[in-house]
Amino acid sequence: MTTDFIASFEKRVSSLHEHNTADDFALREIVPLSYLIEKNSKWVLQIDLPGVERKNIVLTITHGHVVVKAKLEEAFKVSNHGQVIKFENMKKAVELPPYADIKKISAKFKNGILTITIPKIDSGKRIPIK
Amino acid sequence: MLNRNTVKNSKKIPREPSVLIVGIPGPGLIGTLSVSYLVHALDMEIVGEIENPDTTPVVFIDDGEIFGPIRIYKSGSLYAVLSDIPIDYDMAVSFIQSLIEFAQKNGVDMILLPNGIHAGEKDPNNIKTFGLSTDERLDVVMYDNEIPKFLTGMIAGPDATILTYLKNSQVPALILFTQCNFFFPDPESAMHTIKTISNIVKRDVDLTEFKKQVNYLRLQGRQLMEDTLNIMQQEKETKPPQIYK
Repeated sequence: MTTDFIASFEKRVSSLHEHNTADDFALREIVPLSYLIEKNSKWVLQIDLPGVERKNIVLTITHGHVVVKAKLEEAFKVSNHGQVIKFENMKKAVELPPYADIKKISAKFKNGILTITIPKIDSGKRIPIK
Repeated sequence: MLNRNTVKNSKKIPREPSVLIVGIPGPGLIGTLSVSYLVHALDMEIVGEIENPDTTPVVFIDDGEIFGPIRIYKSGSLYAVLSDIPIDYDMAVSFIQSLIEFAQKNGVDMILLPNGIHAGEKDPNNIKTFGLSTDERLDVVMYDNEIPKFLTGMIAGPDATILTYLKNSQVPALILFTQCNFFFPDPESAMHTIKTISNIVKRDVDLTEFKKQVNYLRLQGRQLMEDTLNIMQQEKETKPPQIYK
């Protein structure tokens, strides 16, 4: 449902920040926001997936990337130059950070945010200390 | 002709305090989302714009009318300034100077600046808004509205410039920091901010429409959030000298 508030918000935000959604239109899939934070022993990657249910998220690791695909519960409609475009899926591929221990990657989904914990590899060739 | 009218026994009519609410993009888009909704819900009318010489010229067209990205709205004694573009270092000084000048010219008694503050794992049922005032007279407003004081922390970047100018201005200001997700649009926290502001300005705001659109706002706000984060990232990169990293 498009209300006055939503219509006005969409017009303002879309017209002034349209450059960021070019990929959405090219791929016909919403590219969700994500953020990667480095902690001492791990990386934490968060992906914003509003309007998605846990069962409709597919998370894979492939070719050095974390790939997330998700289906929206309700289609997201955007007006683009007089045309209404319907998006039903989200997809994002994020390059794995350095020293990622891909065997120990874990994920949880809460309040529409997917949090992927990527531990850093903590083993290697031992160097003797003299 | 001489004016023969005289006024007797005049009592000073108490006027409603004039408040200016400022919504600029920041953490969780709290300022933008909350003030956008207040402008809509309180049926505020556009009365002007703030033109900033230090930003790339940009306008948007709505129903054949041209609008700038920073607009001023009014409803009764309530003003709102809403920016659809993030305020970067280059813009911060002239923006806040224009804002204070506007507030002084229009007899504004209080500037309200809603903002967000990072909360790692926030509990959606227990979101807190903290207050930071530039004038001790506003401590009463915080007390009356059960807003705990923002006691310790650090604010950097253009927000720090804005706070410094507000601190040194004659117009009292109250900055509201609501716990939010720093990196993604956070309508839930914005809703909490709207409730706090509606209590302060004593105007009822029906949140039904906002509640229905939480997911939509998170998706629609992505572009603006990304631009805002890019500006914050630039600040971060220019901030701490190497030796302190």
